[in-house]
Amino acid sequence: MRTKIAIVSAVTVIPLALSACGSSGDVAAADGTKNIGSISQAPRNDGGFTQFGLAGVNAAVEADTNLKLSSIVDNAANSQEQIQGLESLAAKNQIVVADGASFNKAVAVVAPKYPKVHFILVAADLDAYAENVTSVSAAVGYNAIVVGAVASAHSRTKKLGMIAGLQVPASGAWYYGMAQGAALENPNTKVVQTYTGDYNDVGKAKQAAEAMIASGVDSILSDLDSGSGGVYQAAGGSASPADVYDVFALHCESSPHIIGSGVVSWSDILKNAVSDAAAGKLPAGAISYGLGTGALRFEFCPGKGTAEEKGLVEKITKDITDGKIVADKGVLLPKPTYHFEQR
Amino acid sequence: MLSKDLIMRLLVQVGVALAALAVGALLLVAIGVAPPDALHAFWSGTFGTPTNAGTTLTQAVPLLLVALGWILTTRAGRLHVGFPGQILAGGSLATAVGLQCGSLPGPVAVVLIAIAGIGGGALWAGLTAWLWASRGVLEIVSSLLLNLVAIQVADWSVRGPLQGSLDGQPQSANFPAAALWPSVESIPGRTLSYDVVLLPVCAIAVVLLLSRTAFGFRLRVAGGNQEAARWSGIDPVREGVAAIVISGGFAGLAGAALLFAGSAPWMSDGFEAGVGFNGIAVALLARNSPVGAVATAVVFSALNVGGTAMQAQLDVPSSLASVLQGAVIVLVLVAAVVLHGRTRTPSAAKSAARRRSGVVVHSGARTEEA
Repeated sequence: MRTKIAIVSAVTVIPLALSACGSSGDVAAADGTKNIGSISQAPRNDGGFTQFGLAGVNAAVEADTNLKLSSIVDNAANSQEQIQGLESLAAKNQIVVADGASFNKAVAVVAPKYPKVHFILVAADLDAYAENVTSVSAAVGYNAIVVGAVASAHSRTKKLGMIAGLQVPASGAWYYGMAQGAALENPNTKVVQTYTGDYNDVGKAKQAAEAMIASGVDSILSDLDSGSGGVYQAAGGSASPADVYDVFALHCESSPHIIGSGVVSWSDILKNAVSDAAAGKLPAGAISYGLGTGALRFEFCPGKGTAEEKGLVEKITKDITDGKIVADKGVLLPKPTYHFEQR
Repeated sequence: MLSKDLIMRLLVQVGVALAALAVGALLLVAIGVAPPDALHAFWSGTFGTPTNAGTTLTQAVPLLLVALGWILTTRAGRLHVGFPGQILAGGSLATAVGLQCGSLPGPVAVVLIAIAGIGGGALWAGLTAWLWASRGVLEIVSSLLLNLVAIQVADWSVRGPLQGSLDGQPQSANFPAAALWPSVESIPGRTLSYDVVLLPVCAIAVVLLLSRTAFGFRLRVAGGNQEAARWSGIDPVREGVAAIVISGGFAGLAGAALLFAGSAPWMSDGFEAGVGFNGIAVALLARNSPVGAVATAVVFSALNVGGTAMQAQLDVPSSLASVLQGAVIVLVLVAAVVLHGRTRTPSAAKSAARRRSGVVVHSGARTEEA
């Protein structure tokens, strides 16, 4: 028993003693180069949100030789991993991009410890203002209004569906926006929603889409990343093929059933934000990008969309930017109480 | 004085560690990373600074608690894999209590939260125990399925009654300061929680429980031979139920520790983070030794923490840590087979010798042959 107690005590104490031999670890660039670190919940090559965000960071790096994307941490799924990842990145970078809504609280914990690092939080806001954090988000609900109107006009059954990974506010915005847009085009059009629990699970997405199609849905908005492949399979596999609308980008080559996409150019948004942060011009607080900046827009696949539908896109987009169409409840994410800028 | 068997086991553990290092080095070379660089990044990310060492040790605590729960149930002859669900149940109940503890004195809040965590995990494990004891449902099946239920319940609760993030994310509100488990102030970032004392305390407590108490004796007898236990007046069902419920309590406490002793003071979906199954691996690596589990919990925690550091510094894929953990488990299984073969050979020789001398040992009854 004494031997066991001694072993247990040694195992507990030795790591602490060894840690005292280490260094404090903070690294700063000495040659004027600004290092950028990026962390995401999803894989870096998810074919969606994360990949496009990284493309924006890379675009900013290519445009400025003083910038370097030095570190990428992906698959940071839970809060502990996110905090570890953020701290590892903050120790050796001047700009840290936290790419995803789930990082909001983790950034709030880590940012105060690294006041010289500029954190860019993507697609979420902090609960409270921090001087070294800028949250950038896209008002995807505006885009969803346009998608809903187009899908309703194109639909035969007047029953639309929205499939997303997680039931988070950004996905809710796609649903509520789609419902508002559909109602603008035809008050009788119905919109249903399903969450698969995973943005990258093709099998679950296919099951969800098949269930929707079986219930009469003939147009599906896929708010998924690589999981969209399941929606494409389901849309092409049924007796009466369904139309698919993507988000973020056009994937027209992936399926002949894709009509268009509510393009959200996270690449443009991140390029803009990172470049501004590197130049010291990115204000702390929250910045929302809308249809007026061009970062958000609806695009048809080549050969898709009638002249009437294209006209509808232009009209709805203009009415939104002119303020004639006001977003319903749930279409836009809640504004933070601190400095907020709608671009 | 260390026994020959203990020395052999230690040598096997060291061998497994060296083999795992070799596997890791090969993988690193395959992806174009120099092993010395990776080792430096791993070390600096795990024990290179007091801050990182604190994180590594604090994250070892939930792993050890789950491992101890597994050890208790296997000693009682039961086998369940419901730790993820019990962690979620314990963590959820601890969150519900912790969010109301803002006005309480710190020590009272900590005790209440720990009790809530233990209670939540034990209650969830109680479902498994009840299904097994009263309905004959295999505990490994029911516990596995109850994990899925717990995941959905936790997901619902963090989007419903426990949701507290201002922008509607599936996260609870931040826990009040009084509810957070205290940590060592002198370590930057306060990453070392005082719950690290649970590492030696719980391990020793389980050793004492199993070796020095009547309850531990009954558990071991019930797990060793149910028929013999019944003949001795020990109810193996009752002992099995007790072991499953206690293991649930350990897992529930792990859930509370994950939330209130870590650096992320809120509950979000997925906070369990694979600790439930990794804890089983920790116990297996320690060959179900409570003392050995302390070391293996630290090793597994270091693999998790160091994996993130290697990714941040050298762009090593995050999945490499998982691959290494898998390699360690496989190597442990190989080592177990080697040890089993080594220990079986002498006993087989002894049996043969006994047969030659006319003494036959059969099912516990010793008889003399004419």
